[in-house]
Amino acid sequence: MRNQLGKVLLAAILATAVAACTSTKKPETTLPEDTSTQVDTGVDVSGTEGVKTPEELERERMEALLADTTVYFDFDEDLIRPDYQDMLAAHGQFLRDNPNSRLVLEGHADERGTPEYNLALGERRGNAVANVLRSFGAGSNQISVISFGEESPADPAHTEAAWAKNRRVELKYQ
Amino acid sequence: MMKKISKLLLTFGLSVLAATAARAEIDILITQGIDDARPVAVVPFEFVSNGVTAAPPHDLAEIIANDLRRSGLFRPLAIKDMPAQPHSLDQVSLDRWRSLGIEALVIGKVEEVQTGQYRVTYDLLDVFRAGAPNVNPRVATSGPAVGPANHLLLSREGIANNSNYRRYGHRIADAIYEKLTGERGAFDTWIAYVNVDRTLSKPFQLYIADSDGYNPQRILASNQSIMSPNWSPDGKKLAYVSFENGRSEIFIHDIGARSREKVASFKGINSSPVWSPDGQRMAMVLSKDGNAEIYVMDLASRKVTRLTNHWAIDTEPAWAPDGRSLVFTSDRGGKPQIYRVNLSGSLPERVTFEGRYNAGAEFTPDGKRLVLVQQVGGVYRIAVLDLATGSSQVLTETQLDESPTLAPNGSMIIYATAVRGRQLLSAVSLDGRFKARLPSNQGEVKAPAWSPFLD
Repeated sequence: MRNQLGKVLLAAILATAVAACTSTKKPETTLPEDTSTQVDTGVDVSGTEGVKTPEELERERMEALLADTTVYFDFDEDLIRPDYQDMLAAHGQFLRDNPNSRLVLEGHADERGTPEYNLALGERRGNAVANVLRSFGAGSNQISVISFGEESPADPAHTEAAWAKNRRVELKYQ
Repeated sequence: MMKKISKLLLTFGLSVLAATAARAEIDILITQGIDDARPVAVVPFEFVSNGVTAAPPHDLAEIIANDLRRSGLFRPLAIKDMPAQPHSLDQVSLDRWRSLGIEALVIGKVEEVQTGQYRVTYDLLDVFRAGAPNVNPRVATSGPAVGPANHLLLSREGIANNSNYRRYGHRIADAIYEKLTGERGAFDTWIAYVNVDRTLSKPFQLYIADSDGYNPQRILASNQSIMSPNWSPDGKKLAYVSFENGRSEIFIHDIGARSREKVASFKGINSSPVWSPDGQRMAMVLSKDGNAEIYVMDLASRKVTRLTNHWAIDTEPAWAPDGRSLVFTSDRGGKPQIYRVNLSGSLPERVTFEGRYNAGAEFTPDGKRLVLVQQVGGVYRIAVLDLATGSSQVLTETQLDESPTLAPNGSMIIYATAVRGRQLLSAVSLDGRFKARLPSNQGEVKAPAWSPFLD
């Protein structure tokens, strides 16, 4: 089952890699050198140095997800947008698999409305993230929530762009 | 013991200070007046030196005139437009002021009785109406007063010194304001506020200044946020929220003693401390039992009693003047609105129905109205709500208004707002007709709290 999932993932990753043609990989058009001494088997394996084992790929995927430590919110909302599901699943599973890890969730709000209401709103956002993490196996004793309300903006400007950056929960491993 | 406390404070990157800054942090800049403000004149006071001092420490007439102008009710005459500058009753020619439409005239004198000590005498005259009771202790009481003495509303004498000179001016303005309006003046009061200057190593600073922004005194500097200052009813202490230990905690700061103590440090948030009118209790917001709820702490025993119980956010308690009920902000109906609850623990009743977002309410001193933050078409403004009719009136034209605080006589509101990308304090009269801005010199200013009457 696990293997099958890896295969599916591998196929998906390869397809994505071809489509994206990222700069870190060698261009697909590069031909293998000195092919004259080799027997032509009809396949060329020398161009696949970028292909990793399913385990490696899964680890990299997890690392990328775990490196993402900020959840952003809509105005006056503590609803977590669906696009954070994979990231929070990764953090929840990491906490489940590392019971000695401790995570602080710092809840923040933008400056609109009153500072005291926003302090409570920041806490509610932190609690919403904590609930999702617990649903993926994190223990309650591993997570604590601290609200800063509107007091610690990521961007102190009084603009829509700044407010979008300030409505957030930051995941901080201790 | 004291030494231990100061060491402790240093550990947390804090310092408790009472240094007087050389410059004013806030200058009142009037952005909008009212057309029907009453014309008055405050004549520069005569100064009689003892031969050493060239000038008094401040211009009393200027302080008084600025206070009266800042109330929005009076329009003091510019000095250059004055027909004369009398200093005593016998120098006053009422006709010359009448022809300019001046309703009330203030004249006075400052005599230095010894170095740094001054005898201040002043008279307030009703320019048009004669027959005022004879209030001048320096005019013989035999027979009816004649001439300007017959127009006297106030005549007083007192001693001021270098250190309380400005305050003395505010007290004179309070007496004049009360005589002319029938309402107690609130110029001799203080404003606490938080200054945030991110260029400093301790960016968060709690200040106390006179009500006109002069004489700012920094009472706390911190590298972490300070929120929600609130005055004790006797004007001697401030409660506030400080993040100096990495999360919200409630402190009580004794201003005169320069000492402070932590009163609430429960798990979760510790927020919105508000002294009860009798000073015995403190309403606050704690989330120790799961989410933000209103509690009342008995300050003597430190015992807290829970007042609300709901999964929604309950915050920003404010006491009714009689101390028997509180209003608070709750989003139990979906969006933040104001609710009222009795101390007995009755079911909260919703108070606001106009506007999608109402928060941060405070009672007027008569208990009949609420001043609050209302969202109007996507912007946040200060509004006043009539509790009897339920209708509200928006007072301001700015967009990010918060933290309204009322003068103890209910005449004026100071609030935090943002103007051209900078947070600063503004003032608006309770009828919305007079507006003023209080710009700071450096950084951003927020969380204003107007003191009670000081005596």
